[in-house]
Amino acid sequence: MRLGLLVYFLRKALGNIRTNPFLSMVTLSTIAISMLILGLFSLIYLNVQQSLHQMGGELQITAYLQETVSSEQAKVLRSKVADWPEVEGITYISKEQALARFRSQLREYAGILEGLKENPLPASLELTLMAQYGRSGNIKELSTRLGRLPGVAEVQYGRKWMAKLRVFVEVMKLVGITVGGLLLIATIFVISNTIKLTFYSRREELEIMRLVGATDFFIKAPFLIEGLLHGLGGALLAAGGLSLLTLFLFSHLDLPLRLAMMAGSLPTGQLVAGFLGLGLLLGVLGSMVSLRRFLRP
Amino acid sequence: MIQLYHVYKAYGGDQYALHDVTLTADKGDFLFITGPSGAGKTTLLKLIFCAEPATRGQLLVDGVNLQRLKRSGIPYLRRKIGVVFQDFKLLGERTVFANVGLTLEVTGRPRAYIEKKVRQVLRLVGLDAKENHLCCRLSGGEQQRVAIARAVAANPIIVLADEPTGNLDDEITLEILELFREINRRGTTVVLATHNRELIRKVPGAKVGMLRQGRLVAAGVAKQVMAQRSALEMSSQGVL
Repeated sequence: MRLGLLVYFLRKALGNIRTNPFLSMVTLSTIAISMLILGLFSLIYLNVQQSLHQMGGELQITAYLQETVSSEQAKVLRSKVADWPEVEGITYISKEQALARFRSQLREYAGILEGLKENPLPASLELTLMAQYGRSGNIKELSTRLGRLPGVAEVQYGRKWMAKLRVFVEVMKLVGITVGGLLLIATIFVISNTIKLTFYSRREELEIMRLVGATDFFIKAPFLIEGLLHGLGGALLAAGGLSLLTLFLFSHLDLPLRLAMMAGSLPTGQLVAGFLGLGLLLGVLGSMVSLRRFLRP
Repeated sequence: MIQLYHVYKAYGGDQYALHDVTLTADKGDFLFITGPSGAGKTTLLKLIFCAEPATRGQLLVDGVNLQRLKRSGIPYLRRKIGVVFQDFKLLGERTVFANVGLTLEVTGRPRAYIEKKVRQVLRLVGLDAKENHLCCRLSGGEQQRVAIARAVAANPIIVLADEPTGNLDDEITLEILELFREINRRGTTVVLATHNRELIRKVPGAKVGMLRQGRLVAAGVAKQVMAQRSALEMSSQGVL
């Protein structure tokens, strides 16, 4: 397409927007709000998922050993488990080390341990897992395998809250997809309606254009560009709004350390690019829905 | 240039707006389509510029068979045909310049060309001093001239005009007719639908196709056709 023609279409599209600025404002706001809500869902989902990923790497499983297991036997057990592919690191904590750690955790209350005749704490093996195994949900299988080893009395890991977090992420995903999908459909409808109204207000001119030899493409192009501009404008507003909102949330809310640490990286460039792409797509789809109906022979 | 062979146009059922019409107009012809209201004059013009399809028959415009023309080809055919509509179809809130330039805009012509060409045709119709006037502020005769300027701006090979002098006084009517004759002298085929026989008498060398209730009842050179019709009418009055 010639540059001059593209400029002509762009000028016509901007003329359409200027013809009804209020309608354009409403359309832009609707697109921006829909995408902002969608963006918030995406952001929360992505962050929780990212947290899960990170926590998976740091996930520890503790295997408490039976009283009868000697330190030599424990070391054999340690080297055996260390060879498992899921295990990133393994540390043997003797009874004495466990007591010392407990004492240091108790700090000023450590005195209560003075009355003990013997050390009640068991020796243990502390396992750190590879990130991919922490995520893929086979921790349970690993702990069962660990529990079956001779000399292991009990296995513990943060099973419950991990499971809850995973359910939360799945629910978030489902709600996000449903709400987002509905909002996107609504956005397409709003853009389509705006184009329809512009088309209607210019129907006389368009009819004359058709009679004097305008092709369907020539008539459609400015409306498609109008839809694109609305989509793009709405996406930019939403991206800006999302950035401001996240910055505000992270600077004004008392968040746990882990979430607060992510504040600097939000929202990502990829998310903004995705927003713009989605905005363009919505604009084109919205326009096409209207134009298809109007330009039917 | 325009060939109609046994053309029929029905608007549902057996009601024919055009019934077995065979008519031709060669390059450079001035053709009047005449007949009373409801005779099918407007319908005939609509078929020629593809506003409506014929129900039956063959219709060729500049060698293109309209019955086989695809929807995507219609705009390109219309660019060869300038149409002056009965109701002008002007954009009242736009300037004379914008209205005339529209025909050239839709073909994607550059701005400089449009400016030059629009001024040229406005000079032809005598409206060069009013290019920035809004069309709604012009008189009926002036609006008709704008419509003619728009029809000829893209150098069409055919100009169709539907009752172009319908609401104009005698003096303006003659001026408008003279404009069409000038356009025709420049080599453009002109097809003018009118019920005004006086107009036809002013162009004795033109061709005439006379319609009545959708049927072509007479065709030939204006002078002869008009003489025939007058004789027929006089004899029928004598019988009565």
